[in-house]
Amino acid sequence: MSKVNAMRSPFAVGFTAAAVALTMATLVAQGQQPGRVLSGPGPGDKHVVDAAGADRGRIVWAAECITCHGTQARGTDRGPNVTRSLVLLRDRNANELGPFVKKHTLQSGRPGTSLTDAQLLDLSHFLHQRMNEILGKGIGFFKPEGVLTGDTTAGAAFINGAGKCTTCHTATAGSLSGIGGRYTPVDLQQRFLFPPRTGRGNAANPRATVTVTVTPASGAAVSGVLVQMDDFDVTLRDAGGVIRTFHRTPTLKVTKTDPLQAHHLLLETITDKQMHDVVAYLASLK
Amino acid sequence: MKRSLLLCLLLSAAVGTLVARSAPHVEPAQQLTGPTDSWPTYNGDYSGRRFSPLTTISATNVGSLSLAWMYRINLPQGTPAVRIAGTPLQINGVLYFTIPDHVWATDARTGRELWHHAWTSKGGIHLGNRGVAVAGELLYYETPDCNLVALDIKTGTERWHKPICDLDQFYYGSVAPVVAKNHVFTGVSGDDLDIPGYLDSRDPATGELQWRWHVVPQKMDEPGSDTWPNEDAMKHGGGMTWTPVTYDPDLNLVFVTTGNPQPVIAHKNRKGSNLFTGSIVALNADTGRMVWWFQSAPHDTHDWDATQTAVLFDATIAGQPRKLIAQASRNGQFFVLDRTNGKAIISKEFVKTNWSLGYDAKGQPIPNPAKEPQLDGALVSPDQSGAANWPPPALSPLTGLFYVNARRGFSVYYLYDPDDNPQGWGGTDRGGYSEAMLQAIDYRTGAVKWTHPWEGGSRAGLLVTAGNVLFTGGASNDIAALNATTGAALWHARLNTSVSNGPITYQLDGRQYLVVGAGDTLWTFVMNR
Ligand code: HEC
Ligand code: HEC
Repeated sequence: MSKVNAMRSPFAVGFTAAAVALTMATLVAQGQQPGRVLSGPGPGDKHVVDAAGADRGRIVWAAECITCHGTQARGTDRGPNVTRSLVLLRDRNANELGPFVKKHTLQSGRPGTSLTDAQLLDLSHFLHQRMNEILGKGIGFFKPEGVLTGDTTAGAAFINGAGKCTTCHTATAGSLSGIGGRYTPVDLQQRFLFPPRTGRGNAANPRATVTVTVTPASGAAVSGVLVQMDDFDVTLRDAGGVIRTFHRTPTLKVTKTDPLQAHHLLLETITDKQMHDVVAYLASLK
Repeated sequence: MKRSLLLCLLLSAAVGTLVARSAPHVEPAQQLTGPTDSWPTYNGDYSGRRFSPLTTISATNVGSLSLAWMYRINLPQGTPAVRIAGTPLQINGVLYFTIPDHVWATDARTGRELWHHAWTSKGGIHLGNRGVAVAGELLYYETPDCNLVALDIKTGTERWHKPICDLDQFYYGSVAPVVAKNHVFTGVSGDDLDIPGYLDSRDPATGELQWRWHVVPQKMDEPGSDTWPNEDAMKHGGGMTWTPVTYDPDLNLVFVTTGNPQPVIAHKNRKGSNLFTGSIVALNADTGRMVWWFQSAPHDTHDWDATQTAVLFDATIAGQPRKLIAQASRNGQFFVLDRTNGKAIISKEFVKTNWSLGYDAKGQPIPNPAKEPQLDGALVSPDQSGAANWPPPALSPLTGLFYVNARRGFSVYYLYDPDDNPQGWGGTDRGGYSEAMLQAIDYRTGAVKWTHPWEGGSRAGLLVTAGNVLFTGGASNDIAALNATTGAALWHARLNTSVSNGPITYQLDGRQYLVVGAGDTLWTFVMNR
């Protein structure tokens, strides 16, 4: 496109002023937020779902489409999956869907032309909403469910036995006591496999912080919280809060201590069955 | 003296047929020789080795590298993806580099901006752009809104653009095109809504389609269709082509590496191995006809695109001189194949993983169904970001090593959507814990010869030189140089942020330069001595 050297536009993607004006006009014409950054998946002029319209559309869908295309519009033996269809992908506010559906015979036996423009628009909102649920990995729509499949007794046995958890934890004190009341099962699973290094308000949890001890060839050892380490330098924050960097040499001894090392090693050996058993047990600690 | 003579001999022997051959129509012969005064394609040459024959910078003097210039991108606040995640090209003393929707030309010696081109976007994912291809007077790049754009290399003005994919279907463009003979090879990206991937060959003069190879068969009787349950599944089967292809002029084969099948995580409606997703495929460059295939990630359910660069090299294995191709795949497996026929010579993990049950007769890994995503979660290694990802690997014929920035991660894969006909993703992973390291793999045996850990993580591309130096991004926002033979750390310089691409090198006026992107800044170092 154009050769642009210095642009100062709040509209992101390197628009020339004219292009911005044009794009804004288009966006406004389509009832969209002007100034939206066109950087997400799909076209910038995507259909924008109106939730109330989608709710009304669901009713039309149930009355006229559902037996052939299914509850989620993913198809049945009598009609194809609509959510990935080109008709819907090209559609903006029923401009493609409307003419297509008018050629259909509906569930009620009436012709497609009996649907009003308002009904078709509502159907368009409903169907785009189904598609949007799929986009973005469906994370906003689906949730991991059914994580509680383990055996509580086996979980208790593992924690007290092969898991060696009780060398650092007890069920009645510290981070495990009452943990089943604080987190959902899926969060329990995540937290015991990958304990976070931060606690409330994202503050560093001192019990989970990596420390380092640096011992020069001559002189006293210095310990502190590890800030950064590479082949050339090691930086720590000492007990007084002072940041200190040491240039690494063959004679400089550096020892790192990670309180979560046992948890990292657990990942090498734990089976999925043991994992689910532990979650069942932790969930019972209320 | 003696040393450089020896290097020359070694080089001409080792680089062999791959680089010293015929000139393509569209571009000077330098596209095929190990680059010295230029870096004319994404990987430097067609082989994907990212190996430079230059020796001015060496393991003994790399500590004396100094800053030549830096160029910082200056775009309005809110511009998406201002991160140099592509590899610059350098031709006739001019550097060409990109971010999504933007291309710059700067003087390779001074960093002075010569021109800047900006594309008016209609949308699409703005994540990263891998760069440009150049043939003659034209420069080609892909836009997030699905266009192949050709610019005049002297002025940056647009000559033409051609749609190469459908934005409405959630495709987008990110890969660097590759030009060979009279073809521009363009791939596509998009993992949102179950669409089939393909590789196009286009006319360098007009952008017209010459042929399209569909990664997933589109009709029930086509080769590979027996690995899918039905035509609907194939038409939505995925397999994106978002890594620049490699090319062997002697065999006239293009090597394309393909992404994960779709739906990505949930997979009940795509039983089978899902060819030719997760594969290395050799195509005839002129016709697009498939010559052989090897599936590095059969029936993937972890978003482990197998699009990592397939690196071409020649070596003697068990007394036999062989034409070979190697990949360190996202799923943690390293493969060396015969590139004339796709037969596996080595199949081996380059980091420890927990998802496979061994290998089939072809040397392809067999996924363990228990480690597919589960409703109650399955602990899987590597995690979704993979043991390797898009950052390009490197291979040195002098050290006999294949280098890859690797990651050993763990996460829990959940199936969210138990429907018989899932779509999109229908699940994802949550995690996790990971360690980053550079793996130097002996390409004759597949054994990891040494590991260089990155405390705190690093994921950058690699460059290896005949000066026995390996360049990459380190863990402390630094560009780091390692001894290519031993992995010993030699030099580093801290940048504005972590290295975001693969470094390149070239020599102009007897001075060897090193260019690396870190976020919004291109950094160039030079050996003054
Ligand atoms: C009697 C069954 C039936 C009913 C009721 C029905 N459809 Fe369809 N629909 C089909 C069939 C069969 C097709 C595929 C053949 C065709 O394209 O006409 C289809 C195709 C479609 C497509 C295009 C899908 C594609 O893959 O291109 C859309 C969109 C669609 N229908 C929407 C609707 C809507 C909205 C309604 C309700 C207002 C509806 N249909 C009612 C059977 C039905
Ligand atoms: C070597 C010591 C050690 C062992 C052994 C160990 N942990 Fe931990 N664990 C820790 C530390 C340190 C933390 C982080 C600080 C904290 O939350 O107490 C932690 C955190 C946790 C948390 C997160 C608590 C929260 O509030 O987020 C859970 C759950 C947990 N561990 C469970 C286990 C289980 C189950 C085992 C055995 C399989 C185990 N741990 C073994 C040291 C250990």
